[in-house]
Amino acid sequence: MTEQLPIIIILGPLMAAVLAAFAGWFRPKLSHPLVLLGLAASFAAALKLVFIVADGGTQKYWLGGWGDKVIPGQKDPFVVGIQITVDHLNTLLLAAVSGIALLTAIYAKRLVDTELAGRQRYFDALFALLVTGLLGISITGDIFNLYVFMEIAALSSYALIAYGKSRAYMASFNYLIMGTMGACLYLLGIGFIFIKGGTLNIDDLSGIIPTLQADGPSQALFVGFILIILGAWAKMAFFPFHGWLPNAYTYAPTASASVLAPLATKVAVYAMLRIMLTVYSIDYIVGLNGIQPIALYLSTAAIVMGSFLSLTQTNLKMIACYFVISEIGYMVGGAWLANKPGLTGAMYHLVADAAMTSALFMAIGCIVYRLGQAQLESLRGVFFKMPVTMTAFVVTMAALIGVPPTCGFFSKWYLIQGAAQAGVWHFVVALLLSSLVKAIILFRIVEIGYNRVPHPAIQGNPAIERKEAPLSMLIPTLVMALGLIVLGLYTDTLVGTNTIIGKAVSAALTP
Amino acid sequence: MPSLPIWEFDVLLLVLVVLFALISLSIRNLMGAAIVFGAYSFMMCLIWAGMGAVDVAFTEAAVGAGVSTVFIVSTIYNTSATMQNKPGGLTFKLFIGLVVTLTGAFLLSALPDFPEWGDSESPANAVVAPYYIKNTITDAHVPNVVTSVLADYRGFDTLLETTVVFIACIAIYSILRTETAKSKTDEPEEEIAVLPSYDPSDSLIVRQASRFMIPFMQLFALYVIAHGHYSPGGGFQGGVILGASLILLAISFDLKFLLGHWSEKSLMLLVASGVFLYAAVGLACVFMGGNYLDYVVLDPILPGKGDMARSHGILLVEIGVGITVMFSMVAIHINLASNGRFDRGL
Amino acid sequence: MENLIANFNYVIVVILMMIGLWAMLAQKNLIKKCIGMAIFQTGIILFFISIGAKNEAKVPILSKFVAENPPAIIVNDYANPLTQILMLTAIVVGVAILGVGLALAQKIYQQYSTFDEDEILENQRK
Repeated sequence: MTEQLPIIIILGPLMAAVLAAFAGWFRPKLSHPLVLLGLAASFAAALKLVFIVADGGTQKYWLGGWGDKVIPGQKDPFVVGIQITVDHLNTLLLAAVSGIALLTAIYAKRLVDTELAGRQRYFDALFALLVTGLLGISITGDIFNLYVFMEIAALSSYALIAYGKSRAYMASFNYLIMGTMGACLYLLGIGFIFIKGGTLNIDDLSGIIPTLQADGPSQALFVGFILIILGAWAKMAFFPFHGWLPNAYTYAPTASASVLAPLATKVAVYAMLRIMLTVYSIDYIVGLNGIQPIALYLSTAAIVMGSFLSLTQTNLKMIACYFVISEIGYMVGGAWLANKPGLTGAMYHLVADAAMTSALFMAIGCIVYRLGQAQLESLRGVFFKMPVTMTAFVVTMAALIGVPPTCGFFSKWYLIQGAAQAGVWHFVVALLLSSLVKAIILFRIVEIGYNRVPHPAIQGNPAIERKEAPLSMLIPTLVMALGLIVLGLYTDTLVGTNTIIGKAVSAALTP
Repeated sequence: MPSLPIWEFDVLLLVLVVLFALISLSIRNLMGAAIVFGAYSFMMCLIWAGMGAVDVAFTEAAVGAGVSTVFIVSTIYNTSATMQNKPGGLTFKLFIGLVVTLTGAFLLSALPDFPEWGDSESPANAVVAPYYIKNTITDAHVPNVVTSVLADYRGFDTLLETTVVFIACIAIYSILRTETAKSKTDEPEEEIAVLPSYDPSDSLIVRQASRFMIPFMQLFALYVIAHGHYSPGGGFQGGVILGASLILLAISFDLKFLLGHWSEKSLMLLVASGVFLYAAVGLACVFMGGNYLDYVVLDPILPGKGDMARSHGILLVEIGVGITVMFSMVAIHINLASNGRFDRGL
Repeated sequence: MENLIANFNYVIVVILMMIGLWAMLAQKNLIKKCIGMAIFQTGIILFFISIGAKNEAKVPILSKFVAENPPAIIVNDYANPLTQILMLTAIVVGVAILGVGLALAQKIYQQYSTFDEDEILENQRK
């Protein structure tokens, strides 16, 4: 049965979504448990696969049994169907995405019931379909299949954002235009690769692309590469394309934002990594004159701009959105450093940042649930009112700043090491600056929430009553925050030479 | 001057599509833009048919020139077709124009690297693609190679594509429908007054003509689904035509008339059931001991001789696709045309 | 120049895509943006179909004769089926996105009584 595990990761949420869509008309109460069940199956399969991959290496699964076939006129066999692959590069991400989605689904129940009362018939189904799309992008071994999964994730996120009503509609529309542009550029890039390579399978392409360029670089492959990278950048809200993200995630309902913000952008970063490292190769990227420095400057710009704009915001959700934008700069920069510590940092940060952003949005969601809004001014006395939530919040902020022993410290450590090794000092400065800005914001929130107690005349009662968010929200938040420390403590088992990330990096670096 | 490598008629069509695209974007009336866009799609499908892509042309004729245009028109019907004439913004438009021109030049820079147009030995045509043409009969007994690749070799893509249609349907339902569901009674009257006074159900000719056409459309659509193994067509095309026949019913008679036959609940349940059928066929393969969507293992529970299992599996999933696409198109149209009120509309 | 004529198809493809891209980014009207998006997508579809076209090839449906004698199949008699499948998917994805875009545009119109992006932004600032 273990050979069927890769498909279970996708089928769990997909079947759950379809069944939840049925249940929405008969037993609306059933749709949430169904989605939980599907996500749990997916998470269990992903977790099991982490161990299988760690021991036995890459796992391939051929849909419909259409694997390697001998083709008339070709020497080597090619995969004629669609392949899904679990290897060192994506197995941790799969576990992280399905795990965080499961926790968020538990967490979001209360929020959905209050924020979207009377309109949630399809919310659970759309939630599960979003996760299907994200897991699909992470697992697929076929570049066109990746495009279809991209659109599944995108379409469900437009709807999840539009649940926010009023300003969310325009935010969602802008996201739709930008997201479709990104997906179209990606699809066009596939065309440029396909016209030279003739196959869509990622493994086959990685073998074929070097032979195509044996006698000189190919312009079509270069254009294809740039188009795919641009498409992925638009999808992940990287610096020049970041405009859609803050509004979309701020005006979306908190329940939607808490699953979209941590996962959607990270998965797009993974798609970029997969194209860069597996379809093309590190040698190819290093050989591109002039592109690597541009990407690194853009990463620095993303970090600096995200950090400064987060300082000017007065809404906690908006601040978190700009954090997301600056964190994307970390990962893109780390990937384009194209050396061992840089790639290690980027791959580790992919998982770490998913966990950090998730914890951050969960904590903010708890605050919004009780206070009704997330303006900084409304946070007066929140440390007394919600001490447990705020502890989780402070731990998360510490991880984002990079305080040891949280996971944020280690990923930043590797990224700085990589930048120093490559001599890219502006990236080092940007990383440190970003930590500084996050520290300033944390102190501002502590100052407002701890020192500025609500005015008795406004609040009516000077003694602040303790009122935490309900347990179904508080426990996932705490689990996530605790996870940040645990992830930090177990860094060595993930990034050492003979570990999963270590093997993924060395596979990327050795041609 | 070297002779053009393509059919001369295609040159004319190619120039025309560019013209139509420009006209559609520059027309100041949105209704006109929608109609020109429909014509653009139709030209496009002629070009594709000329290149041997009949299935794609068929789908584009049904989806691009047909249903998409109806969607745009029903949106305009609920809103407004006029565009404000506002000066300014020229520098912005020029800037975008510059960016786009540079992008275009960048794309064209790869042209010398392309294989010749129509070269049957180009990698795209010679690496994986020959396998499908060579083996479709021995593997699946399906002469229409497009159908066998669609539903078998790359059947997973098609499952996801059906899911995309399903998502679009429930997304549009969630965006438009839910909000107005409970406020049926306290509907503001002036909003109704805004709607155009033209009542499409007035026309006797349209009514009689569609009464005559709809049964034939539906019969043809069923043929397209069932005969997709041997001729152009399949679940998508047939599903869209079936959906279009119901949309025609709604336009020529009344939305109420259609809703009298198909309730909201049954429509939305049927949309999900098509995806469910497709996914369940795949799951059955897993339980019978094969990989997901490996129809061969279904042989013991399907009729016919052993090597027909793939062919039957393809038919089953095509039916699933047809159901989802048909009812999605109808549900999306009703939502867009009635602005989510499910009572009256285009 | 000769290169441009030899690849006339691809030149038109690029022109179409750029028209669509320009409309998506520069047009202020939301419906026009949606139409631009659809034009961009059809441009891409034309690109893929052009990749898969073969001189002197028929539609990829096997005739009765070769269907009964599989060894007699000559691959170059038939257009490339693979690109066609990919584009069938792309068309359907395109109409799905168009529908969602139009639904959002309707909601936006209900709120602001306009499709003009600038006016909507002005309204939001109030």
